[in-house]
Amino acid sequence: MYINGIGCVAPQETKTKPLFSNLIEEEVLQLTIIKPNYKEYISPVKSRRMGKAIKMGIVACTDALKEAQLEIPDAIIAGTGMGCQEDSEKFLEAVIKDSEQFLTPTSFIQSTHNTVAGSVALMLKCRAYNFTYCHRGFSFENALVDAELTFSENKAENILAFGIDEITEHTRKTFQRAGWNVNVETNPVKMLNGENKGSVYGEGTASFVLSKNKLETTYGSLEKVDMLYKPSSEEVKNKLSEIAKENSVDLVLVGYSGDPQFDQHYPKMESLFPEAAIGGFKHLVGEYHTVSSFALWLSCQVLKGQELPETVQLSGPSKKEFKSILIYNHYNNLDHSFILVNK
Amino acid sequence: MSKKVFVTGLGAISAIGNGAEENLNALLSSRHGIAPVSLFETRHSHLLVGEVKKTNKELLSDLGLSPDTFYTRTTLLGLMAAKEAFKHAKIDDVTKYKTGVISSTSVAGMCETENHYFDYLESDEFLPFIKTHDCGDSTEAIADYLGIKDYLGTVSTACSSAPNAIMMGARLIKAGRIDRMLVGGTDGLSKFTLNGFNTLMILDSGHSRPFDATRTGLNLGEGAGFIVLESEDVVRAENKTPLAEISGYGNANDAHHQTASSPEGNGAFLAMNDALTVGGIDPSEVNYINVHGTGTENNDQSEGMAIRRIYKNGMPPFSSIKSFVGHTLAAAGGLEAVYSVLAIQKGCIYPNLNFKNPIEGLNMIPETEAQEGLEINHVLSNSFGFGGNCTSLLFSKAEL
Repeated sequence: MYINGIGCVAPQETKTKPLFSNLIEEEVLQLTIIKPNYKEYISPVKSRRMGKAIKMGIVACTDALKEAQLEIPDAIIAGTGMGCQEDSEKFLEAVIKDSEQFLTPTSFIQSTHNTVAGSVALMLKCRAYNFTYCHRGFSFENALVDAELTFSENKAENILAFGIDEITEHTRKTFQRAGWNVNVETNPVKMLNGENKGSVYGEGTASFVLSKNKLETTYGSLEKVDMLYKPSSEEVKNKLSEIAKENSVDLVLVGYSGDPQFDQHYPKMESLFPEAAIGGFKHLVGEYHTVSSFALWLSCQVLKGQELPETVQLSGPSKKEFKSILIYNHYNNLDHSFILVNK
Repeated sequence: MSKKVFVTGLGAISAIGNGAEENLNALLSSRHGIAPVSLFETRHSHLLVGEVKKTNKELLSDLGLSPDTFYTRTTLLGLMAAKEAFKHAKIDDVTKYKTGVISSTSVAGMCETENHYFDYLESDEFLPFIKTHDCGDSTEAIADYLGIKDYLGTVSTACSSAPNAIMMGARLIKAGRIDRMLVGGTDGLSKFTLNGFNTLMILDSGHSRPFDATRTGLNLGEGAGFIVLESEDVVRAENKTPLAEISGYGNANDAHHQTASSPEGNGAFLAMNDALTVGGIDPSEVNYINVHGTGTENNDQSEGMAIRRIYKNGMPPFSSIKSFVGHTLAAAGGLEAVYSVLAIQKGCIYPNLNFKNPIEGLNMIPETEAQEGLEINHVLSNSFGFGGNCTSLLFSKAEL
């Protein structure tokens, strides 16, 4: 399947060229998105009631559809680990604080995990297949496998697939208590030094028009989506060696989160892929369940621009040509995923 | 691609019983499980709900887990039904074939988060529950309990979640990606959802009356329903007698409103139509429709219109089981998949409780008495959710 249109909202600017030339690096506890100009996408009357996830989802999906010159997709498939966290917390806090009185339904309605996919369908008046997967580090991958299946069943020409997650202050605080998020303000761009306790959690969305047919706008083709649940280090190495053997990978984007308790489970990538540049992405946008969708967006940029932003590369040779990119990510050493995208 | 996908195991836990058999017996004897809230303290304790008659402690003990295990009610209910379905399918060696799980939930860990939301920041006592908030947690607990590793997924599309999980599982098997799948859904009752639906003013103050002209809303429920799907090849190799075939499925979006269904039932019509098309079944061949039938004014009217677009005149017998167990949200279509398969196996149709007056203009009268000894070859099961999400599953008599 080809990737014919992309859209992205992230804690970094996503439309500046060259990419990340205006890198945001501050000491923070969590990373939040750079707010797009919502007025260009959603009428203020509607946008006033919408939660952050719905708004950023609509922005990224609109951009992706526009680039692929597609009005209505044949399926909308979303992945989100936590769903609409902001609205969930808003409603829950009201239930707790006001002892179940004086509640209004808006935030409850929007707390539903499939709100973004539903809102996009509503906006497009798209009655097609509409799915939302919520499975931690497999959420976006579940969506991509579904897209693959849908094409193989001849049920679609074009599919809108996206990953989306939002972080709130409260969630970040609980993640700190769970030992996953840093307790001291940290510069994420420098967090891959292996000295932190926890990662910096982030948020964002990346949207893709996947198609059967190649267009002028095509970024690349999605070759492989594989998942391994709680694999042994042996199983991971075997999977990576198999990919290395079958493909001439130019760049491996690895999901290092800066948290040694989880990063230690990535094998030494340089020896498995000696010819490839090794890069990271969580130091740019933080850790979240669907961050692999940002990595796929980044891969599309590299494939089309044939240039690797300096801040992305962590080790390995510097490459002049990028034909094949592997994304290898895991969430808390539970859900390991492998996405291969070719020019 | 043309190979069949069979149902080989059932698991159910709900307000009317622990286990598929207890559920079936209650359905056939018109014994509902709806009563005032007792699971937690709430201002709305007068509201009627369908609670599973077991505490979390009892569920832990039934599952052979230590009493201090940090599992949410959503996970515990899911484990009960998943374990039963696996046992029913006689799976002793999970590694013999490629085996996966796609579960679904909408409440997820909210039933615990709501108890400790602010405490998390101050006290250490309940910290292990932090990791149980997201939807994936219950699925991974089920996978770990049963040793499933080959494919994991979780769907969350509100009240159509479980049938979507079932649909995806069936498609993965059909495409030859996997040999067998545990699929379904689980949701524990929570103060969060109780207040949410109450705020939407779609909870009946008494017993819900699906498809009755005087209906005013639903009763919430909780539970879990799982089925085991296996490929034709595995069924043949293991010499199993399948319980039913999952012959069709369809998902469409109503694209009308975040919570309300369109008056014409557009999404519902498309989903049912797709399920019948995939199954290659003429609407007249369907012997029973297990309707979504929540008992809200909007759902039943819209669903009725959609059914009437497929069946202009005459239609197969239909009923909603929501007045037995309440609306169990993500689990609803999982439980109803179990009931649909049992309908085929036992040749029975379940009564639609509390029905008296037909909705004007629809000319639809649900079955009000349990019926047994019928020949049921095809059952259509509907589930619709927020976000316009509409799914219909078609179960058929198994023919190897």
